[in-house]
This record gives sequence, C-alpha cells and structure tokens, in this order.
Amino acid sequence: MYERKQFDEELTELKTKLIEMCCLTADMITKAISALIRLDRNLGKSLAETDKKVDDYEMDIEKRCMRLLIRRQPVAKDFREISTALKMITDIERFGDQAADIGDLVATMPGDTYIKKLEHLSAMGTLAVRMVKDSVRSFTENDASLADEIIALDDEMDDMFLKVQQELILLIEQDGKKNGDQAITLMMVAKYLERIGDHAVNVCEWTKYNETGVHQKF
Amino acid sequence: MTVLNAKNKEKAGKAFFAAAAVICVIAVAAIFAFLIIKSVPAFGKLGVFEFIFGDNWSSDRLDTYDSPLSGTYGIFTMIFGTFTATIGALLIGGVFGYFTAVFLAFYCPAVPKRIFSSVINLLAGIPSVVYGFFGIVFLLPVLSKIAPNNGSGLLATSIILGIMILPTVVSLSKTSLEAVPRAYYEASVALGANHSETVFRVMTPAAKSGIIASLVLAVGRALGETMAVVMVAGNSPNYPDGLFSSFRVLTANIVMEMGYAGEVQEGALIATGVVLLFFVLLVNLIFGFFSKKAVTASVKKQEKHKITYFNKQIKRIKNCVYSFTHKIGAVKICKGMAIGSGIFSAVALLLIIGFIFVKGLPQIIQKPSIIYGKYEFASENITILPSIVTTLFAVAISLIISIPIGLMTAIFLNEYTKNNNIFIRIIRRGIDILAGVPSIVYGLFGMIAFVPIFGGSSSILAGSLTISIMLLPTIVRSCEESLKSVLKSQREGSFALGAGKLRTIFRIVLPSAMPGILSAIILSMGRVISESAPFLYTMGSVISAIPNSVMDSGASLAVALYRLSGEGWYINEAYATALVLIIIVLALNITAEMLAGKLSKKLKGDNA
Amino acid sequence: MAKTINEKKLTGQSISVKNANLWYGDFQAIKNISVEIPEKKVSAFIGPSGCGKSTFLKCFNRMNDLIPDCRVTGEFKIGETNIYQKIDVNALRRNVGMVFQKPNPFPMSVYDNIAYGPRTFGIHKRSALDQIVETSLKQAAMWNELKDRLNGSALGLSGGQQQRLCIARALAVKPGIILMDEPTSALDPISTGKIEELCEELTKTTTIVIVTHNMQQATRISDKTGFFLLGELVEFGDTDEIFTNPKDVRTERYITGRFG
Repeated sequence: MYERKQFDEELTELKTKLIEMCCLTADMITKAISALIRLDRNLGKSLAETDKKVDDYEMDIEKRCMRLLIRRQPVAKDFREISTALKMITDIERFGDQAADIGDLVATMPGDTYIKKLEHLSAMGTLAVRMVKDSVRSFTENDASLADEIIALDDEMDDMFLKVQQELILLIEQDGKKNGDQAITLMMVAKYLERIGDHAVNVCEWTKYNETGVHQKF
Repeated sequence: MTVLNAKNKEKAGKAFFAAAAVICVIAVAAIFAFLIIKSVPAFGKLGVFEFIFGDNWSSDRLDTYDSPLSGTYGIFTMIFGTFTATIGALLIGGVFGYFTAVFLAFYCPAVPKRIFSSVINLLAGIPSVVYGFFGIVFLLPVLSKIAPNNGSGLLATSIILGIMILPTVVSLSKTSLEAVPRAYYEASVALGANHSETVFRVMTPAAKSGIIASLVLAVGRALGETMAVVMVAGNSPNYPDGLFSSFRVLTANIVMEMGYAGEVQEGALIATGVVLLFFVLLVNLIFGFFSKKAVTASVKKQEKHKITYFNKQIKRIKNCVYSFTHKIGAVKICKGMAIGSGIFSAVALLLIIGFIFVKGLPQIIQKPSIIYGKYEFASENITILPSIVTTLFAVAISLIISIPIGLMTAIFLNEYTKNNNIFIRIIRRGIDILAGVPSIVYGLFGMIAFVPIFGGSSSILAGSLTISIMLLPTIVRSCEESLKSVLKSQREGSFALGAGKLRTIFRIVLPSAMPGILSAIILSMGRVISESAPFLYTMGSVISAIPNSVMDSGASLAVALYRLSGEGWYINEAYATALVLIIIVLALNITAEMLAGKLSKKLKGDNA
Repeated sequence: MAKTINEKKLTGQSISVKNANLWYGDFQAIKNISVEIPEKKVSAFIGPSGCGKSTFLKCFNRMNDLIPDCRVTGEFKIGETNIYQKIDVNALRRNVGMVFQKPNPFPMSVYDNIAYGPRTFGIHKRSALDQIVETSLKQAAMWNELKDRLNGSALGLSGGQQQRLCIARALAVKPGIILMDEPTSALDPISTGKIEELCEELTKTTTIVIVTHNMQQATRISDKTGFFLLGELVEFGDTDEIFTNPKDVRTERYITGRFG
C-alpha cells in the first residue's frame, strides 16, 4: 500500500500553523475585551505588537500554501484544503486587525469611566472569541456541522450589535455633549466585534467548501 | 463495389500467402514420402535390424529385389563413424568455438573484433568442398608426416569438420553472449569481481542456453556434412579404430555409391539417407526439448524453490567444483583459453583463405584461360567456364522459385497468424524439419523425384528444383526475422490510418524489412554456389561443354572443384576453382553486409 | 461508384458506449462500461497501469481486432453507427484516427508519411496531395518547421516532431475523432506542451480522446475526465469537477496519490 508521508506531514504542519495563528488572534480578542472592560490602556496599546506576529503568521502560511500548490499540484481534497487555508488566513488576519483596532480604541478611550455598563459588548466579545476559535476548529477538524452552528451564531452577534447601537443612540440623545465621544468610540468597538463575526462566517463558508466542494455565501 | 473488391483483394492476398506456406509443407511431405516409398523395399529385403546393426558393407550393384543377395548391407560401422567424427569435430570446433566466442565478446578490442567477426561470417559461407579441398592439399600432407598412411582418417575428418563448425559455434555463441544484459556485468564488477571472473561466472552462465543451442546446431551440421568428409575420411566401410584409420560416414556412403548403384544398392543407399535423416531430426528434437526445458525450468525455479535430495547432491557437487576451480585459478585458465582460442581460430581461418589465395592466384594469372577458355574434350586445357554458366543458371532458377515462395510463406507466418492454430503449427514444424534435413538427403530426394520427371538423366532444372527446396527454410526464417524486426507500432500506425492488411504489408512492412530480405537473397545465392552434395546426382558432375538449355546437365563450380581435386591430375585447376569460389562467396557476403548496413542507415533517417 | 463510398464514410464525432465488456481470453479487461463522450471536446482517461483505459480507447477504432482472443460485447456508437456491427473497419479507422504512445512515423519522407493515409483512400493527384500535406502540417503547427524538409526522412526528426508529424498524418484523412494513447509519455516537457496546445486547438474541428498517465496533463487539456480502475470506469465527468471534488472515494484516493 502506497502512503504519501511527506505531503501529509506538510498538510498537518499547515493546519498546526493555522491553529496557532487562530489561537493568537483569539487570545488578542480576549485581551482586547479585557482591556476594554478594565479600561486598561496599556494592555490595549500592546495589542498592536501582537498583530505584527499575526501578520508574520499570515505570510508564513501563505508561503506554505503556495509552495504546496507549486510542488504538489494538489487535486481534490488536497486542493480544497490548501485553497481554503489560503483564503482563510485573510479572514484570520482580519481577526487580529480588529482586535488591535479595539485595543487602539481602548488606549484612546475618551473619559475615565464608562457612560454605561458594558454587558452587551462583553457578551459580544465572548461570542467573537468562541466564533473565532470554533470556525478554525471546524476547518482543522473537518467539521461542517460545527461550521453551520457558527454561521447561525452570527445572527446573535448581529442582534447584540443592534442592541448596543440602540443603547448608544439613546445615550447620545439623552446628553450628546457628555456621552457623544465615548458613545461613538464604543460604537466602533461594537462594529469591529460584529465584523469579527462576519469574518468567522467567511471562515466557516470555506470550511464548508472544503467539505462539500461548493462555495456558498450566507 | 469497390469495397467488395478491396475485401476480395485482401482475401485473395491471404490465400496466396497461405498457398506458399502450403507448398513448404508439401515439400516436407514429399521428401518423406519419396524416401519412405523408396526405402521400404530395401528395408524389407535387407531387414531393418540387420541393416542398421550389421557391421559389414559390401554392396553388389547386380543385386535385385527378386533374386537372392550376393552383397551384404550393414551400416553400423558408418553410424559409428558418423558419431565418432561428430564428437571429434565437437571437441575441436566446439571447444575452440566457445572460447573464441568468449574472446570476441569480452576480450577482443573493437577494431580487430569487427574484422574477425566478419571473417567468421564469411567462413560460414565458404563451400564445404573448399574445406575438403584444403584438407586434401594442406592437412593430409601435414598429417602424413606422423601418420602411417596418407594422413586421411578420423583425425583429419575431425579437424576439418571442427573448423567447419567453428564459425557456426562462434557467431551464435557470440550473439547470445552479447545479448546478456550489460547490467549483469556492472552488477558483478560493482561487487568487486574482476573482468574474467565476471565473464566466466556471470556472463557465460547467463548465455548458457544460447551456447548449447549453437553447439547442437553445429552437431547437426557435422552429422549432415558430406563433401568435406568424403574428401578426407578415406571412406572404407570400417570402424574407425585409430586416428588415421580409414572410415566411412553415412553421408559418404550415399555419395560414394549412388552414381553407379544397382537396384537393391540404391534402396540401401536411400535407406541410409533415411537413417541419417532420423538421427538429424532426433538431434533437433532433443535440442527443442532441452531448450524448452531450460526456459520452463528457470520459470519454475522462480515459482517455487524446492530442493530435493537429488538437487542437494548436485548443489554439493557444484560447490565442490566451484571451490576446486577457484583454488586452481580456473578463471585464469579460462581467460588464457579464450585468448589462445581466439588467436588459434584466427590463424586457422586465415590459413585456409590465405593458402587458397597463395596457391590459386598464380594459377589464374599464369593461365587465365582456366576461367574463360573454350571447352574442348579430353584436353589439357581444363576450363571452368561451363561450370560458371551452369552455376549461374542454377542460381537464377532456384532463386526465382524459392524467393517468392519463401517470402510469401514468411509473410503468411508473420502477418496472418494471429492465433497459433494447428495449421500454423504444422507449417512451422514443416519448416523446422526442412531446415534440419542434410543436404545429401535433398540430393537423394532430387534424384528420385525430379530426375525421372525430366527425362531420367540429371539436368540443370532438376538440380535447381532440388536446391530450391533446400533454400526454402533459410529464406522463410530469415525473411520472417526481418519481418519481425519491423516494429509493431509501424503496422498499428498504418492500420490506424485505415489502411488494409495488404497495403500495410506492401507499403510499410516490406520496405522496412527489405535490407534483411535482400541479404537473405544474397546469402541464398551464396548457398547455391557453395552446395555440391545436392547437385552431384541431380544436376550432374561431369565437366563438359557450356549448357545450351536447362535440360542439359552440368557441374556447378563446387561440384567441379570436387571432381578436379579428386582426380589428382588437375590440382592446379582445382586451386583456381577454389579461389574463384572463395572470391564469389566473399563478394556476395560483403555485398550483403554493405547493402544491409546502407539500407538500415537510410531507414534510420541519417539523410535528414 | 467511388462517390457512394465517400458518402458511406463514417462521419460521427460523438462516442456513445453502452454496457461494454471486453475479454482477453478469460481475463475481463473492460467491465460493463457505459459512457457518452461529447463531440469536439478533449476527453481524458486516467487510471493506474493495466486498468483497461488503453484497451477501452482501442475499442473505438477496433484496433483490438488485431489481438488474438479478444472479445468485445456491448454497444459502441460513433455518431449513429454501431461500430461492432458489420462495417468497413478501414472506413471506421479513417474517421477515428489514432496517435500512439511512441511516435511511429513510417520510414519514409515527411511528405510520404502524411500522404500515406490519403493515398490509401485513393487520392493520387499530386496537387491534391500537396494541398493536404500543407493543410495537415499547418493544422499541426509544423508547416514552418518542416516546409523545407518535406522530402527528408521522417525518422530524422526529433521525438517531439515525430509525434506531431504522426498527429499531422492522422489529420490528413480528416478524421472526426482522434484517439491518443499516452501521446506524450516519451517526450520532453516542451514537446509535451506543444502537443497539449495542439490538442486544445484541434477541438475546433475534432473530438479528442486521450489516455494519459499524467494527471496534470488531463487537468490541463481535457474538458471531461474518466477514471478507470480494474477495468471499470469509476467516474466520468467534467474535469474541473473530477479534480476538485470527485464523487467516488476511489477517484479521490487515486488522484491525491493515496492509492490502495
């Protein structure tokens, strides 16, 4: 029986790298959220550094994918896995970008206290971390049903975003002068978290392509 | 309409080719039928057992089937003589031939090898009467210095036969040695074995079956050889009880007495032919059996490695021999033998050609009229012009008959035999048998089959017909070889373009096979010129006037040489004749070689 | 009378096979294959050695007739004609050309090689032959290379040129279908590239069925791909589909190199 050891090893390595990159971004989001909640400006600022690491990961994985495409001329499942990885890292890299952006917002957050309790935002953060982690896990574990779950979760994310938006609009209407600056900043944080959800959905769509050979937009 | 025609054309073509093949089978059947019909009364009269095992032969030409015999007819001395001479020839020609082949394949530098190889090929074509003549004029005088008689007998016969079979053994063994994959050599050398060890422990064993085949073929040739033996054996019907005692072989018996044989005597001689044929076919059969066995054995060995007690013993003996030969440095001895044999063979072969040249050339220069002079009765001025004309007639007629039949049979066998059915097998077996029949038996057949048809006396036509049949198997085989060498992909290419079978054969296969076919034709010409035994009693053996028609009788060049050398008075003319024969054969061989080379070069596309 | 034959010439370009079986003696080399090969497309057959793909290919021009003990059942239709009925095999082969694994130019001039087919079918006029030779060589994109050496031996050409000459030779009888049996397996990458280019070019007028050991080649040039295994046609479909998302796990395993 013929086994292709080298190629399979390279594919496994590729996936390991993907998981590492994903964990890194998930970690960044967690940190961004905790910086947000504790209004830890230094922690927020430090995320820009980590984002560079994520970019390095992206470059590394991209190179690996291209090398595999050239050297192995993959077909069928191999081809789908590699092209999925290649597409996926763009979204994962965006995870890092968004987390760093949130960190940046925290660092420059107007005011010393929050104008409101951050219950929905922190829930959105938790959800984002879960979506990020599971979306990549669904790919590495070839789990299409997990991908479906994540895609469904995005609706929750969108709902929460709308709630945050309404709350902030209300606060601005109440006292635009006092709340305006922070409300807009928090609004941007919420938008970034919502975007993370969208990227996670993209990742899941590629997972599903990897499994079924059909790429479908949700 | 046209489609129908095309189809009919294909069918007609196939029928034609098949008809040619059938003619080959009929020829075999006819030979056997005639020999059996003619020999049965003799066997009946003389008794099979008494005939074969009787050791006293004193024939009486007046014996008839209706009256009591006054002669005795037992051929056992001759059977014994035939086999003794064959073994002697094998000891000389086989051993030297084998080592010469090894020498040529593995020790000889490239340039001398090329020359040596073509000389060997040339020698295979030299007429047997020339060998016999060389025996008379060179070997016998040399041997007579140590012999109690004129030197003729078993030793002289063995030497001459040995030299005759040398080219056969060398060229076939060399071919199979060279066919051993180069990778074997490299593998052995890579393991640290030196050149000679590799040659004798790896290459030679790998070529074993081919070498044995060459030896068996040589045995066949020695058994059936007539003229050369007749000229040096002494021919008295005794057991060969010493190296120089005169003895008689089966073929000689036929040649010696056929010319003046009476009724029972003729039957007995034909019966001698039957016995000879039996032995030759037996050798072929044994050969076929062994070569087949060698193939299946090696396959079986791979299938399962079963060591029986017997095999174990053989292995032990083998090991003993191996270590013994290792100790005494057998490989070194073999190497010496190879180089020595190579040189010896070269010297022997050059000696024959050189001797004839040196002795013959002055004769022709001094008296060129030997070649073109006018024939006069009982004159001192012997001329071989009539013989040359007769030979040309024989060549022309026999080629016109045998080339088309042979080529068509080859086409039928190679192009139309998708399945190996019974009909095909019969044809193939028939051709194999034809190839094994000794030339003197063809002569016998011609004498009892063709001579009576053309007026009861020998004629050029009868002789040519006889030799035509004799040429068939060689032509079929070599044509088939050249057809086989045309790649299958060529045929497929043609078929794939929608060409039919006939078009493919005539436009693609035959042009590609042409070099091989042409050299087969040229070599056949050489054979007609060289042969003498089939002509003696079919075409005639008297050197007379230039023949006027194909119904006249005449002696071919080779027969003329036999006559001239036998009579003693015309030894100078014999030298000249031998030289002419050698030159013709030489020219034909070189032409064949050049033609083949040129054509194959052209086909390889060097002109582009 | 000659005209009726030309009319009788098989002209179909599509191949339709139903329940094809083929035996070599007792060995079944093709097992119940049904397939529709579309016209004017490149269809590729891939599969491990001895899987029957070449054998199947040779059914389309009945080259298997040349092999003893070869028995074929099932329906093979070229266009509307069932080719295993009583038909003129030579006319079939005129419509279904073939290019072999090893280039097999005849040992004659370039010109005579190409003219061989037309001459077989009765074209002997020099001007007509000249025209055919030129057109065929142009179709095979070799006219400029060879126009000055038409009378040189075809055997003097390089391997790649020889193979393209064989394609030109096949084109000279204007076949509707050309079968290619691993046509580039003996060639270097440049020559291979030229032949692949040619294949795609030829689909303007001709159906091409190609057997190849080189999967990349199938992905490069074919519109349809069929995967053979042990005499079965496991899968036949659009090349893109086969190579990104094969339906059968055996196909997947084979093309990704996980064989067994």
